[in-house]
Amino acid sequence: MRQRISDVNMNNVTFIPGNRRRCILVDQITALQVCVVVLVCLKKAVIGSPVECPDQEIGGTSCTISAEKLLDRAVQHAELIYRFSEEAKLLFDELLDLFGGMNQYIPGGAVCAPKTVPVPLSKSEIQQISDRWLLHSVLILVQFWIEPLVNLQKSLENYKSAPIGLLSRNQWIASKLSSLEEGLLVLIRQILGEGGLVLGPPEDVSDNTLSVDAFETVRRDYSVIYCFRKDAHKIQTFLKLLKCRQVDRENCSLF
Amino acid sequence: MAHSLSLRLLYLGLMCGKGLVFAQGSELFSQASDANKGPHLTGCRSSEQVTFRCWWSSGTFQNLSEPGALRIFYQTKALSSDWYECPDYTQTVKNECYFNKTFTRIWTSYCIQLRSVPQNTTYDEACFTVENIVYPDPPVGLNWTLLNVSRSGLHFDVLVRWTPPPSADVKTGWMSLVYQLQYRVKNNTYWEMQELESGTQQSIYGLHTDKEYEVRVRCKMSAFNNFGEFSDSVFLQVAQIPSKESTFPMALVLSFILIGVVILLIFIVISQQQRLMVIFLPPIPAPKIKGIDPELLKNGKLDQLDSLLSSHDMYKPDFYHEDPWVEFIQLDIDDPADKKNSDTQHLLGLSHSGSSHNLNLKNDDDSGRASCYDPEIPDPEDLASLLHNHSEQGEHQHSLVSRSSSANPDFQQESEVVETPIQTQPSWVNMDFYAQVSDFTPAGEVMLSPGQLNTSPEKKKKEEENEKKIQFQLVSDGAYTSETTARQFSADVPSSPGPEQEYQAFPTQGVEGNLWNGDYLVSVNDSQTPYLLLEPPPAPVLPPISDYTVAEPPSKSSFIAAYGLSAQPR
Repeated sequence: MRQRISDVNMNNVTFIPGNRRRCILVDQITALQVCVVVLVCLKKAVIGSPVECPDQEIGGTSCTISAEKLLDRAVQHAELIYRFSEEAKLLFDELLDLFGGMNQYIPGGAVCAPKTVPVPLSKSEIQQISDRWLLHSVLILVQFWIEPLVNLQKSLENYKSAPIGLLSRNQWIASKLSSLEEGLLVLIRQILGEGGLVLGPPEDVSDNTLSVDAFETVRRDYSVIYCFRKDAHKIQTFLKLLKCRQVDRENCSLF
Repeated sequence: MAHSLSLRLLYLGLMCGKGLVFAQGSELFSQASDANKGPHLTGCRSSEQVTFRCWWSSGTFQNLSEPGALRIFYQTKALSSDWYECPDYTQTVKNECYFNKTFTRIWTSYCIQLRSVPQNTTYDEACFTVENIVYPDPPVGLNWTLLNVSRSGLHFDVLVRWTPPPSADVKTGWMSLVYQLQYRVKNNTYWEMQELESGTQQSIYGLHTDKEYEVRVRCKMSAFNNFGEFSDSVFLQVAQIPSKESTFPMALVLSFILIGVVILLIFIVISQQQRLMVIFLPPIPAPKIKGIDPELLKNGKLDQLDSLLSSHDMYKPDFYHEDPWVEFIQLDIDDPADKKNSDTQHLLGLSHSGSSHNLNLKNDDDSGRASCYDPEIPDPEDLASLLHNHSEQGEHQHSLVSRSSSANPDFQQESEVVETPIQTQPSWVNMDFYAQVSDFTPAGEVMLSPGQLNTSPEKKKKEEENEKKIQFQLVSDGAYTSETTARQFSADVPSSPGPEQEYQAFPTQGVEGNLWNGDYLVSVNDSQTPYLLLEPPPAPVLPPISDYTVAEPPSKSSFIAAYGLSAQPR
């Protein structure tokens, strides 16, 4: 049973099972319009702009937005990003089902590019690492995925029958990733009191050459969505862990 | 390029794919019947996103069912590309491989293979990432509290609470769970589902009292599709609150009051029936003559009526000075017909002799106003004597019947005119007080006739005439009359040219009256052929004039006009 975001209300997210593929696509369009509009407004309300401290220097610590609020906004961003990536992946699955199923395109396990900075992947390890490390890991991840998603958007536009929901979600995710990156930089400054570890332009691991082979193109595009979805969940979990630690260190550090 | 892309995809889709058996969630492991399959993986699950387990079945291969025959190997990119054997085969559970937290990496893909080592065959393989196989444990600690009961006592609301599964680390934010609550009437087959709830409580509204409900909860990771098992059901029931004692007498008292009010109303209605009838159903005012009791008119004797009516102001003799049409009927006393004159004199003398009975006839020009407005009703005895004296004129004296005759028209006219005042007297005997509208001319004028008392000859003629009228109507509905019907008409006519007919409207010339007045047509039929029914009669046929002559302008008769007129409704 597949589920969709129907109403982007932070506190009361409702899922509606999508029963039919074709109807889903139409529903997606309308739902997405609403979602995008709401999210655009929400962005202003929730995240705003973490660097928009009125009459303050950008690097100044006199910005009045608390770390907890920033974390809250970051967590909400991550949740939404993950949900949208989940839906984008499902839409892509449906698109592929029309052409014989997704089994051929699923990256076996190694296709998801390893990150430049290894990130711990078990709970115990994660709970052992410091806040600093967590924040940096998240920042690295976010920074890593901005460009591939932009490329994916360009590639999807070449598809003949790509659903509009897929395209719009992808676009939205890309934009929100950028804002999340900004927020994380501010967070790092606030929590850690240091300048953000801005990496250089990410190493171009993915093959950017436009492959003439349609199969490879589709496979690559699908792997982008697939792997990004995984990482979006990771980002969300990390941020939640971080939020708990910031609020209540003793209870949240149990492992 | 897009077009070629889609085509390629379609083509490739039809080929055998690169067989990576992968599915997420429930599609991970095929759930086909185990009976027909060989050894296969039945499932891999994680309950807390920290560890996971895999199970397999030997299927139909009984020789592989002993422990150790089939083994699990896994590969994960996190460690290396090598295949490692299952780190822990669970002792207590058959065919289970357990990966503890040191071997579990989230967001990492695992591939599991079921192998038979001696035969070096791989029976099944599955790849997944751990977060995709997370099926949370059911929530625990389900309980409910009553929120409120409706005023009618028929419905109630509850608040159901639960706690997250203890194995799921929700507190630190490791897992984000959403819950789904289901409830049903006990022993019903259909579960009502609530929407997903991220908190740990939910309200249910609109439950029925006196019904037992069953409630259960399950959870899953948010934005994933894998629901865990249902929690243990909790039963809730609220007894229906019996109706309060205080309301019962209230209802009784109200009903008694209502019945009393109804009885009172009925009593009032019965006792004041007459007055209420007058108020609600006012009597329709009967036609009244001012100063005259209608009862007297109905039942009173003639002499009483006489006195009444003569004393009435309405019937002053000068009432008719302005009546114009009376002047049409002029009594020409200078006519050289002596017989008639003598008759006239005689009648006039008689009329004077009858003055003792308040007959108010004048022997001047106004005598022609033998109209229905003549108030005097002569004494029946006197009138009878009049009738007797003028028996030779009795044929046409009984009523205002006009005769058609082929005699001198002028003479006839005059005789008719002369006779009309005389005829009014005897005819008064048979007349009602009020005049009747007998017919409408085609020109729209009203023909009046005196009503008739019970005299059989007139009645007969009336019926006869009605019959003829009906017959004529049959004729006049169509434009033409057939020859046969015309003949019928003519056959019905008595041969005598002078049937006594009550009232007709005959213009001095013209066809209009002739056309629709069946009597006339019938009367002239004997002298004419049937085809001439709709044609104007020849002029010398004398139209007898009744007392109630309708003056109309003569019009040129033509067949077309006649045809048009015959189609007019009467």
